[in-house]
Amino acid sequence: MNKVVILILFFIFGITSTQGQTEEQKNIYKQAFEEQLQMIKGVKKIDFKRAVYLSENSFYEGKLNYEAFCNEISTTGNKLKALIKQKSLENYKTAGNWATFTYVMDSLPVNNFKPFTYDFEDFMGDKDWTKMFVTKLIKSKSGNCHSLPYYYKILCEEIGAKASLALAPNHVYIKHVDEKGQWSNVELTNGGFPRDQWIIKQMAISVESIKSGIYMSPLSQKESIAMTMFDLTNAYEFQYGYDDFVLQTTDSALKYFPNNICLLMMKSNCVKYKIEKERKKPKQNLKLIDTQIALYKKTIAKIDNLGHKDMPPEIYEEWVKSVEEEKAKRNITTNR
Amino acid sequence: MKSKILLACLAISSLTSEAQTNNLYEIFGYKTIVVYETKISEMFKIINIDPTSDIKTLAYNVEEGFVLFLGLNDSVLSKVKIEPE
Repeated sequence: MNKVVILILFFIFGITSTQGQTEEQKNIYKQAFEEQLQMIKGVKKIDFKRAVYLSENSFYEGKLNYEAFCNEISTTGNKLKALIKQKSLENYKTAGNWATFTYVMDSLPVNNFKPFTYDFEDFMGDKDWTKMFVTKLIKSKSGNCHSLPYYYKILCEEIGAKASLALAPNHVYIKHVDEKGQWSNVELTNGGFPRDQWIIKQMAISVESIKSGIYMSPLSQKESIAMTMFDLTNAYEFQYGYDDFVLQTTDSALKYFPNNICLLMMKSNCVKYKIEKERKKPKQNLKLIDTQIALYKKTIAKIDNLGHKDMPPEIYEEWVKSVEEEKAKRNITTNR
Repeated sequence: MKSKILLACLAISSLTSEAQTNNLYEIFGYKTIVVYETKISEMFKIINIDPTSDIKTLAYNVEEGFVLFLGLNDSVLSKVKIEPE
């Protein structure tokens, strides 16, 4: 009898401790979100590097060392500053952009002749969410269209250069002002400088979506922080699924970036999940279902009105691969 | 005459295959290795000067070998396959 009681007690204790651990991990997300929210509200100074760290650290259950992350970036930043000085380029506005670009894409002594490459394996992070991370990129020297432009922006800001993120369907790239004062595009998945026309055609971007500003516009600093809030929410959803936290974070980020398609889609998916969950219950809350359906329809209508057309992942993968094939066809070697 | 039109169409289609090159960091001595190309498939159009005709435009697609008879607002009235001479 005593044995049975002890086993039950152990079982209850096991469940309680797992639940406690999960709650503790979820709290890390909540704290990270609060800090990002303070940045976007203007209570705290906007720090893109810190905001990115907060998202990634939450996924790693708070085990990422911020000091080590900063040191890594600061060391690279110093190398880039030295490179600019060595070439006497201090007077150029875009010298920092160039230095960062060559560090990421070129074969140089500053990167030990090892440029960063595109990681074709699970490039959407479907199996492994860390594939999206800047920390993964720094460690493995390979990343995707999320981590590469994020890292570029972080490094540019570290050395006092300016760079903005820009969005395309399922894609992030860099925009910055060139020496002549014109906005230019930097594509870090292949190290090129595509013109707007090429991006529009290749990524099937609708005129309506450009007009509404959802794609191809340089993101403001607040909008960039909203993107890190989206990343945080995405990481949370990857680990724990949809719940009220997902809805809370997307709604908060949408206040500062109302036309962000990624956030709107996250919100619609979360609302859809809530409807389906409620419908499965034996005693359904019909009023809740009706409210959520109305909210879902409203969100979807907004996405449609903004002119968004989703690019299927297979087309995106084909696009990235085609660039690599093109490079190989031209017998270009980059010592990768 | 048919051959001349076809030659003109070929010339236009080859011109529309425009190579877009841009090197943002050229001033720093960076040599870009990526060339962005966009192939634009355009049709050679001839506008009908007869305002009373329902056919407003003839559109030639040389690649796929057909002619479209277009009405108002580019509505397709009929499609005719181009046979070799």
